[in-house]
Amino acid sequence: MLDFLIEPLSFEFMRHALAIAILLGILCSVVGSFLIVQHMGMMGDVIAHSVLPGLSIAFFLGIDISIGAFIAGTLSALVVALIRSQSRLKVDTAMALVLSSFLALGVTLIKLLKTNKLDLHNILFGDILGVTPGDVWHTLAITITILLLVKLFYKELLFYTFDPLGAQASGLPITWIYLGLIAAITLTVIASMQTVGVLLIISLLIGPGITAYLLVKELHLMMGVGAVVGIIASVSGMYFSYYWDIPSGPAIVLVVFGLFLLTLLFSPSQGILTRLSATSRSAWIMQQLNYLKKR
Amino acid sequence: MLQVQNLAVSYQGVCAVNSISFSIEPGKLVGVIGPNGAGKSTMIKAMLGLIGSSSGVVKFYSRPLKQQLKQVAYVPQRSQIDWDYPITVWNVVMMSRTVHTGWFKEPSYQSKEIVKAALKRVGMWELQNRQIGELSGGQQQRVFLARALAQQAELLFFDEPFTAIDKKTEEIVFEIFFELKAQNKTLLVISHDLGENLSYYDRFLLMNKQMIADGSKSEVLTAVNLQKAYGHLTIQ
Ligand SMILES: Nc1ncnc2c1ncn2[C@@H]1O[C@H](COP(=O)(O)OP(=O)(O)OP(=O)(O)O)[C@@H](O)[C@H]1O
Ligand SMILES: [Mg+2]
Repeated sequence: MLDFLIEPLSFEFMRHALAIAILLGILCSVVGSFLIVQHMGMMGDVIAHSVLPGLSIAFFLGIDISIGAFIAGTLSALVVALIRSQSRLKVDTAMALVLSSFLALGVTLIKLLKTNKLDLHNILFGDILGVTPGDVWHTLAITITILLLVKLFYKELLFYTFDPLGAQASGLPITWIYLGLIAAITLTVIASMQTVGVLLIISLLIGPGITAYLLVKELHLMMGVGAVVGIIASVSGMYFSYYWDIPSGPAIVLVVFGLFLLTLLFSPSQGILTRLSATSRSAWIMQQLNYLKKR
Repeated sequence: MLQVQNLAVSYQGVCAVNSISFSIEPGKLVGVIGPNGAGKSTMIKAMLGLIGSSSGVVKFYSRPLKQQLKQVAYVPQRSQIDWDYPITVWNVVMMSRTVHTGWFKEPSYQSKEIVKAALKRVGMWELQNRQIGELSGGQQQRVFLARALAQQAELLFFDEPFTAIDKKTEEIVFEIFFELKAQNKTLLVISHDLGENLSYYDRFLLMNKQMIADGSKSEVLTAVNLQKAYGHLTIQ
């Protein structure tokens, strides 16, 4: 058993990948919790998909691809906001349109600009083999910066995400707070891109947070418990990826979902199975079956 | 002294509030009434700059209100709050101290005492550690009342504070309104309740897109005015 855990550590890339996994577990849980409480989960997904054109252009121009990703990611959020404020369209429709269009543009640009060295498959699904020491430092820097900012601005962020109108009415600069959140989401996406892949980042962003949400009743606790869940998921995902030779992204995502499901069933306060006594449990299952039949 | 001149708001070209003007002396409890969709919430949001207005000036003691938002407490309509948000009663009320506390700082001892007093005043001290979703509708309203109190504002806006509350909570709310009035604060309260509590208000603004009547109970709540605002209804 111990060998099972230690053996992969003899490879340098695995040590890097695991270091990143731990950092991402924490970072994604903290940033993702803000997404969840603001009902902005899909916004995380939009930004994640939308970094692609930026990657391609930056690669083509020979500049740091993170910069391209950052510009494209924040731009997508601004386009969503623009469509929403200038039309009667609801935000979910605007997001669906922007997400698919940016992704399409990204794929097109990768082909057209012949930035084929940018391995599309790895960007979409994550690849631990590609993790370099530079990536680890990168992720560490992003994680520390964002955690520090969240700590500094926590009371304002709490107010804004709970009651945006109230926050605005008491004079908080909510546009800046919103832009700050968007920037934090984009940076988190950039940090996670390499290991989780842009298509699946959303899982690591919201999965640990909602799992924690089933267990605790305050935002900061949600972030803390979520970080633990996130670390467990990303680290064990890395091991699955290593032993079964599957892309790291899907491996992490499936562990996230497994942990969520377990919590949904067994959470002491809100678990489906724990809140019902044995007899009512069978009645509940029958009721659900009937419900399904009726549909 | 709160002054509103020619306030107008439209949503995507459709007019919701049309050139409304009024002014209110400090120490008054003013009721804003009108049918659903009359633009009551819209008017208050526009006064606070929460939504854009196509015209209008809002001043408090001769200075633009938007520059003195620290003086304002705003309690939004129930439906605008996410009651499943993971936050406790204590922390909701503590929010009122955010701007007073200032950036990068922890709330002072004094702020904590103010929050404590507000929670005690509305009878929610014992439930301070509850998640807000675990409260009854009336208790939730009291938490927001406590938040407004702890803000120590001069100008207070309440959007339908009487929905989902029982007689007892309603009495507490009015008691607190009277205390605030006695401290010379200005209160603007949107309400649908045209019942027995009407006599508690000093003045009414009856609106339906535009101002229909403005004045005391006997001046505003006449059959003619109500007909104009509601189409049919008369007062019980
Ligand atoms: N965000 C919005 N976008 C477009 N139209 C809106 C929006 N908010 C409100 N309206 C419209 O503006 C009008 C005024 O709405 P408002 O919410 O101010 O009414 P109200 O007097 O507060 O009503 P209620 O008593 O139901 O709370 C309504 O016709 C409403 O449909
Ligand atoms: Mg309203």
